[in-house]
Amino acid sequence: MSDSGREGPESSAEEAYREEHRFVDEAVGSKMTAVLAGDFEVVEKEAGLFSDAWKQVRRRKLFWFSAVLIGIFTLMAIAPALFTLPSPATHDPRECSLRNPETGEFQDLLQPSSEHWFGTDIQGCDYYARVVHGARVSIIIGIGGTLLLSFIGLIAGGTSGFYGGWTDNVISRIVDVLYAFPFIIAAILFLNLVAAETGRNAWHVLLVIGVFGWPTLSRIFRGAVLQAKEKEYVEAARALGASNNRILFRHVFPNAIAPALVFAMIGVGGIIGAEAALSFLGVGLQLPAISWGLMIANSQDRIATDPFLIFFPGLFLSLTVLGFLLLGDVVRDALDPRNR
Amino acid sequence: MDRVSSEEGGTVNTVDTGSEALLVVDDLVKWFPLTRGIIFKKHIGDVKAVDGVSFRVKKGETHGLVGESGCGKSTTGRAILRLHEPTSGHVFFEGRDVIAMSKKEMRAVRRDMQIIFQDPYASLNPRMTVRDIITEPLVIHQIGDNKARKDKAKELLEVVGLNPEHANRYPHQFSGGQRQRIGVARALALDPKLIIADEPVSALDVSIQAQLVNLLMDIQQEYGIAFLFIAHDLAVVRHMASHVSVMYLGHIMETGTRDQIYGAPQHPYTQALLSAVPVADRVVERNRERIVLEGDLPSPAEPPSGCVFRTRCWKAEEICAVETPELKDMGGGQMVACHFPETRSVLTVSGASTA
Repeated sequence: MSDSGREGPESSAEEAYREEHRFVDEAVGSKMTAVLAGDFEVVEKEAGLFSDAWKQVRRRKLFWFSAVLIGIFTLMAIAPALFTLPSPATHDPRECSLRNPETGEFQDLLQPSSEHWFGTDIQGCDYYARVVHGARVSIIIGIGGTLLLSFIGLIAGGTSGFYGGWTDNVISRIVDVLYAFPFIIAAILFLNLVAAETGRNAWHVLLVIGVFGWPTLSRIFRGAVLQAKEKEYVEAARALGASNNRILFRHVFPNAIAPALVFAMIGVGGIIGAEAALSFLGVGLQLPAISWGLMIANSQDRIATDPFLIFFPGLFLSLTVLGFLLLGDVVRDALDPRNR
Repeated sequence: MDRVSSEEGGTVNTVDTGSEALLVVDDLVKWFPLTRGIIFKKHIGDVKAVDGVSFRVKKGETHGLVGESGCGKSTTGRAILRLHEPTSGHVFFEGRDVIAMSKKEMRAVRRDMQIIFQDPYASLNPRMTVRDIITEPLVIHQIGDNKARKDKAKELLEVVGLNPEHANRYPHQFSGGQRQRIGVARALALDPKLIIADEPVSALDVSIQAQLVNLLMDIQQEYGIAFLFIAHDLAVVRHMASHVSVMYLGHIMETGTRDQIYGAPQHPYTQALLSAVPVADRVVERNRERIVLEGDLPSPAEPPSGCVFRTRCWKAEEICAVETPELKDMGGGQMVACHFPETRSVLTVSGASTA
């Protein structure tokens, strides 16, 4: 027990530690104890897969870059006034006049200048204000649509994967049918039906995206649930007498959620793009709504003469999508289970 | 001596087992159906994983269940706990038939029968702390409050030889041997009377195996827990078990005390198994007689008629294909299922003894 071969003032403390944690020593080897001996850890900090993931994620520059991007555009969506404040032009994207009220000159299709940072569009509206306000629709539909499709997809995939049998059969066939339907066509059909009476708003688009977008997520989640269900710790929980509910929420769900989570995060970018595409095609939002997709659609004819009309909304759209894609990427790397 | 009174519909079958037998497995059968088709499945056959297995485990003792991979021993262990629902047969735990119980009754019995799994990496939920894993049985059965459970977790960690301060850690921060100890701690949480150890050391380093087996033996001595030790490593089983059953393709070939099985095996399969155990002494190893079985393991979906071992047995005669041998008492409680049992000492005196 007394180790006379070791010199130095820390040897007695080391010995005491060794004696106290003899079992650790036996089980793991003295190498581990030597490492621990220098650091008397009494309070153990938590370290789960998610908090480990967070520690890894926050170290990466890419994460902060994407977080900043998303932060900027989310802020833009919540409080566009913050961004239009510094601009010398009008803050109201709908305050448009063909003639400048002071000078009386035509002020449509002005090039970007110090007066109008992004120029003006064909009606004389300040383009910068319009582009900034366009963020709201994209963010709402992007995040809202993702939440809706995740909700439906997780329930469908989870029920299907966990209970199996006929439930699985039925839900999977529904998924197959919806999956086979090209999203754009389904969205166009549905939105055209709605447009006739009431006029489309962001909620219609959000609904369509949620209803037609969930099959892929449900398949991913179902696959993950099937895998997690077969794991031995689930069997162990059954052997202990755990109810189905407990197994589903405590054991299966936390271990199956990672791929679905990553898919959803990356998907936000795709959904924002989808909304822009639908608006571009004329079946998404309609004027006088402000959407990047609409702006791009209305600027098609003028690419040669006034490229800035497409450039700015296109830039903002791309950057927003990029932010979400990068974030999803980083999170996926961090959540990658490391088997030790 | 054993009377079985059976009633259908919810009431539990009982058997008079005598004072010592904690677990009586009686003709347990588990077949897995084979189906063809995706939506409308047609039943085309069965994988007969467990095909009529019987043995008993006495209170506080270790019963080894050995056999090669694929013989159905793990399935037997799970079927006893109803993790796989048995196709037929009885499992009497403390005299009550577990198979016939309702889910509710079963839940109460689960407190007394626990299981340790083979894979230390897959048997613990990676998203739960060690404390959560160990106290989960207490939570499920609503035992104690938060503080009491925390204390119990601490106590259990000490019993299995882990540092109680590590209770907040996650499984991936432990080594394989330590994770198995966590699994043992979890199995002990409800103070069970029987633990089914499903190849608990197969996935561990040899040096760690010894530690874990010693731990299990200490626990057995301390708490009087019976073990059903399922393994394919005969050396390990010899160290811990007092009785051993040898399984092949879903059937028990031979059952007896440890000394009977290892010292005087009568079934040809047991003899072949024992002769395959390597001996550390090089000279002895080279010169000893080895029994080499011919042929391959038959598919459990199409087991041979009569004695399932006959396709690889050097003693096989016509009767072996026609008549399935029953387990017969050959004296002293040693049961052999063979038409031509013959004692043959396979293990040399100096070799294959575990220190």
